[in-house]
Amino acid sequence: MRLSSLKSLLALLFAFTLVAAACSGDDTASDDDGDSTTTEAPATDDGGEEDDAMEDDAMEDDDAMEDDAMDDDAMVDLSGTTVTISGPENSERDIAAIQGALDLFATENDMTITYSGSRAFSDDIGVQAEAGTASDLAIFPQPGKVADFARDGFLVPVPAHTVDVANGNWSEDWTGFGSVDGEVFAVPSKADLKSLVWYQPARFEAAGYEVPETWDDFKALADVMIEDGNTPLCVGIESGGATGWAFTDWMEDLMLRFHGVDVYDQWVNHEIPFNDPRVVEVMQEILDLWNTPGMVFASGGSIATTPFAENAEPLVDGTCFMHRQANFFAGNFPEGTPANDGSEGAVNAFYFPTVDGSKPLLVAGTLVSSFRDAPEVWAVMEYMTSVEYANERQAIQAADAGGTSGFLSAVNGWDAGNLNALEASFLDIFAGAESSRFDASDLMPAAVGAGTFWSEGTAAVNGDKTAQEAADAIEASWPSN
Amino acid sequence: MSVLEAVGRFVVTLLLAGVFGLIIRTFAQRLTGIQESSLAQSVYKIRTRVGLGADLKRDESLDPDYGSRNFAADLLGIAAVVLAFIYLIGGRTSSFLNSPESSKFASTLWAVILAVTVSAALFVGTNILFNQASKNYTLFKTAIGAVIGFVTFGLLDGNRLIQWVQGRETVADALHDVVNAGSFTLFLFSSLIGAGIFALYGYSYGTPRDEPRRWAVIAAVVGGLLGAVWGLFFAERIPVDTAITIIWTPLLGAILVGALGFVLSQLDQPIRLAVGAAGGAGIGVLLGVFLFRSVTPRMEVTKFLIATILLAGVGAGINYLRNKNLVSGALTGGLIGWIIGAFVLTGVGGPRAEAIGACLVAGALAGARFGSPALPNQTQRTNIENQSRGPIFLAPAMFFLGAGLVIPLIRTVYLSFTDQVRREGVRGRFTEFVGFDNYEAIFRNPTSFDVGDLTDFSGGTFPNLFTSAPFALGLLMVLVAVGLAFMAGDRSGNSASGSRVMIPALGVVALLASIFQLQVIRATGSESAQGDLVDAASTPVWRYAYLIFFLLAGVGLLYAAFANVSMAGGGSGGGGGSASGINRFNLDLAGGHGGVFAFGIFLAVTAFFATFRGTIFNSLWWVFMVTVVSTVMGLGIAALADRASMENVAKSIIFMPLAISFVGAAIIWRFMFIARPEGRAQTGVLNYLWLKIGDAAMGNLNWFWALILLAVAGAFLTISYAGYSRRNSSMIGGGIAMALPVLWLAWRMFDGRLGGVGERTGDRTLFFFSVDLPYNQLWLMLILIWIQTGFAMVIFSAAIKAVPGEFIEAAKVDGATDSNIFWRIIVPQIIPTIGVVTTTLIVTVLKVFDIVRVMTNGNFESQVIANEMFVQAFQNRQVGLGSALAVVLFISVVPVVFINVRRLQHQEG
Repeated sequence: MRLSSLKSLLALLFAFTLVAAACSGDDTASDDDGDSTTTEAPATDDGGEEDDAMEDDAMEDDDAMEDDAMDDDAMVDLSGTTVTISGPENSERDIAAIQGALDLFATENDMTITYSGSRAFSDDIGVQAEAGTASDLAIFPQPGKVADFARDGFLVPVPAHTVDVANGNWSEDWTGFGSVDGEVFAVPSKADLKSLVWYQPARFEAAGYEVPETWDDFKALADVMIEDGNTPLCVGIESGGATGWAFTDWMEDLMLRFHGVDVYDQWVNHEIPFNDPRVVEVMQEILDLWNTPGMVFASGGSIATTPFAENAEPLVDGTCFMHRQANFFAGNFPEGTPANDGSEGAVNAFYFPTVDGSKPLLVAGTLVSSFRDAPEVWAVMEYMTSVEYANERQAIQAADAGGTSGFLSAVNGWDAGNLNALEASFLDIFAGAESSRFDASDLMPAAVGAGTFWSEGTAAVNGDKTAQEAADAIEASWPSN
Repeated sequence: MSVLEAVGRFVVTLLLAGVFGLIIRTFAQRLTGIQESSLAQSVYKIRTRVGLGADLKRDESLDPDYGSRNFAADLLGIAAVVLAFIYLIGGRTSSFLNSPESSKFASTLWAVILAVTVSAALFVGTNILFNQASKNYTLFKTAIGAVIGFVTFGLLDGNRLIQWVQGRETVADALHDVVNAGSFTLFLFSSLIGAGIFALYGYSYGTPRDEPRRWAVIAAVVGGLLGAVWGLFFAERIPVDTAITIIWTPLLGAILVGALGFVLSQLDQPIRLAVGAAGGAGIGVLLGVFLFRSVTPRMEVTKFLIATILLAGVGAGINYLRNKNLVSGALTGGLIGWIIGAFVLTGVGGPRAEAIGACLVAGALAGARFGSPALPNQTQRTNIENQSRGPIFLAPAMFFLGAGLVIPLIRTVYLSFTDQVRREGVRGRFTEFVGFDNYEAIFRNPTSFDVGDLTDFSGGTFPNLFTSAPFALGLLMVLVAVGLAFMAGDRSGNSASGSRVMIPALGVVALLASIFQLQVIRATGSESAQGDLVDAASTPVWRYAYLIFFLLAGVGLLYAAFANVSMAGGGSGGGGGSASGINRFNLDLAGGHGGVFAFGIFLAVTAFFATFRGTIFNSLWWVFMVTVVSTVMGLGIAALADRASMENVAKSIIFMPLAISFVGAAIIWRFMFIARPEGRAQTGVLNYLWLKIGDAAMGNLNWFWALILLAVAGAFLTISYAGYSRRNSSMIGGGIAMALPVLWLAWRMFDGRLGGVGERTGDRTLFFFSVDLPYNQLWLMLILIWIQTGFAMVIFSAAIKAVPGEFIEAAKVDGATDSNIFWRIIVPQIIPTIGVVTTTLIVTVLKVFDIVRVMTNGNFESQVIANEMFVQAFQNRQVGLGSALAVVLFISVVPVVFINVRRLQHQEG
């Protein structure tokens, strides 16, 4: 066989070039190092650097329009840009509403915004951040996680202009949740009200029950219900990888009520140990309540195996009378369930009863933070804090749900015409709160707040551990650094 | 998309697909050496028609050693690579089918095509290259030099090619730009270069009979056209000088180094060495001049020298051990050391002069290394070719193993010794070396080894263990087995170690249990409850009953062991040098009591793991339970189904779960296990059945069901009685063992306390399979057993069928029972298979992650190492701790894999 080396040479040449080219994935864009050679900068064809600079200037000079994100963004040319967003809200309804609200902005500016919601968001985002493949914007439900990511250097600090826009849209309390070590890394986009107990007014009326004002009333009412042969509470804490968070919400609400906001803050910041007698006392209080025979209905057979959402139906059909859960629980009711309109079968929520007369509020929400520093990213972030976004999302979500949307925002000045009576009453509760605190488990380090607090709490609820044992285990898991 | 563009894409896609098929065919031809007559014939026809090779005989053109067939195939292969390359640069991965719907499919398809094309081209190319070592050494040396030059220049060129590829969109974009701008220079330039390259290519194929010059002309035309296409695509897309650097710099390197290789292959020592060094230095200077600014080294003389001298020494040492030339070893080592010193250890961005200097020395060293050995003779050249085959075959595998396994392993081990910490006032995470802290944390973590309270005798770990039903039942079975064996005095069989070690050990455990039980009675008095595994154990009568039972069991077992050992001792003394001695009895699986004994041990181990909890104990429990049960069941089914009617159908059904992913299986079983509140429709199959049994127990016909159960128990007892009269201990033991649970069921059925009916209250309780401690894990393990039994069965089935039929027939002639045939003939024959199955299962089970993740996510004390690793590394982002867990997992798998490999080697030996 007469073969030429040149043939082989050629094959290899091309093969090597191919390998070299194939090794360059889409995401590994290496920046031009500014060398004097004439290599073309690897920028996309349409996005020149001058444009970026112009946008920045335009945004900074544009103070007059500051309060209105929409008008402001209309000034800069965002056409052709793309912004990706990821977040934990993953029900079809949530995704449709978020995407719909974003599309409004995208269409106006001739850009592309895509939202992807995942159940495993909190697991994924860490991996993606480490790998440098995180989405442009991420919707964090946990300020603690924002702080983690910010301190790890993954997040981009929010520029002053965007902070100003957010401050104009939301109260200082809310924008404060996104600030880490004195710098703002996230802005609020959605608010959740957690100190709520869901019930059916008509059923209460028929049985002669009254909405309890205090914790003792609440327990007394529950006992009366049991005597009457009714089941007072629906409880379920199953939530896949996040099983146990519903239990932590009970803990937090009662911590606020039993020991006040100062102790609550110390607890969150680990200034008192997790197995402090006051914490164990609250945990015991809940376990005692739940373990009272006849007290709890759980559609999964046991509290630890019941997803909280599955308790919506039993509440509507009267299997149980009360369910303590945040405002977004509204999204789980069967379609068309009337809300707070006085009709038969309508659901309503009352404020989780007080212990000593003070009215603290447990809140949660989502914060938007950025992994990429680009004008279009900040423009979208500003839009997501705006009242337009809230109105649009509310409208889509309410229409889809055929009633209560399950969405809530504490943004200033949103359109009351969009809200039903129930949702309006939530806003009243927001307004009437003496003090509000963010969900503690969302503020604690992930190893506790999204780890042992959930799992050990579940063990305690399931009776595998005592309150003291569970609290000791959580304390032991608190990270040292 | 315009019509033209669409048509163009279609044509190119078709072309690529066709060419792709051809290259695979060529590849197959190369491997098999079988000629593909139709292809060769068509090539022959084409050549005849264009007036080339008309003088060839038809059968000559079919000669597999002749150039024509190879030429056509190789040309097509290279064309495929070229087209793929153009496609890649111009169109990225998804543009040919880039409608939104098909883009994912298309990009996957093209990625696969590209991967296969590149692999095939590399493989074929390398083989062709090394073929030349014995055939044409000059060309071999030239080509090797060219490859090295291409790669070196390409790499040191600073990956501008990759940078340029970033940001291109489609072929259409490129064409558009070209038509509008029309840079003729580059067009011409690339045409000429293409023509030249292909002319050489064509010339090299020409056989003496084939008139090489004519081939060269044809090839030059083809090459020119290809070059023109190349130029058409890339002209004006990039400035000329950039174009030169991104692709022509590597080509220049290839030509220069290739030429050096050519020259060296023509010369002999000592001038060869001198020319090599000088030529290398010259090329080095050129490289230094071309070097991209971002990779020019900063001279740090100490590092240069230390790395160079150190590695030169290493190279010489290696060659000393290999009995090879010391100088060439030192040169290779020195070259690597110099490169490391210049481009790895130092910073970049140094002055141009230093870069030239660095490259000069590296080039001189490389050239000297090239030129140092004498020209090989024909035998040595053939050796080079032969020795290259193995590495060429193995290189891809080694590459993937290295990239996918070894490097991550090393990194994981490294990470396991670090922790990522924050520093005050600075953003970002900093890796800090923490030694064995992570490992310490794993073993100190109370959730890893949850031994509970060992000193609490009123409800701590030991009372729970010793009063648990599995432990007591296991001990009872051990006792029964030893008693039966003792009475039978069965001295045959082969499980002597079980008799000699385990019986006294269990006797000691039973005595210990009785001591603990005494402590329990003293600690609890008569009122408080203990032993949460068995309600009955909480009443004082049962506590004393346990005490007496443990005492009797301990004494009995120790007596049996003593009697056995003394017999053995006497036997060996009197028998005169029998190494194994004679036991009074043996626990022989074939005799039946051995099985009862083994099951007793199995229960006792289960009791242990049910009491001692924690991540690591849990993982061990998984390993024990799934491995034992899957192996035993797989073996049992394989043996029973062997040569039975419908064997294949039955085995297929049992094998089927193996096809289901762990996640899928977990989801399926989740639905089986699900519970709904009492009074509502049960959607979980198992809870439905459970409550139906309860309905039967509480209904009016419960006496009827109880009678049926009694009848079944009676049947088992009859078997036992038959065994008694035949002195067959396996029938006695088996019958009693089967009858006892059925009797218990009958009693509970009659009493109305079966199927979730509460012990005292009469309430119905549901079964929370994945929640209720401590046996919830068994239900998770059931899923894996369900999957893996099929695997074990298939392997065992094949092994059993391989047992020679003569053995079994001979045994039958000698009057062996089926049981004896199984235990004394089949099992010894398939012992190696059992070893393979067990070790494979252990490795699989140790890594179990999906099932736990889906079913409980580690809640309800069901955490295992693999899931804990995921939680720590990715949820809590404690990468160090997660890595340490991964290493622990790996280390625990290694011995098993090692034993497996050793066993396989022994088998082969």
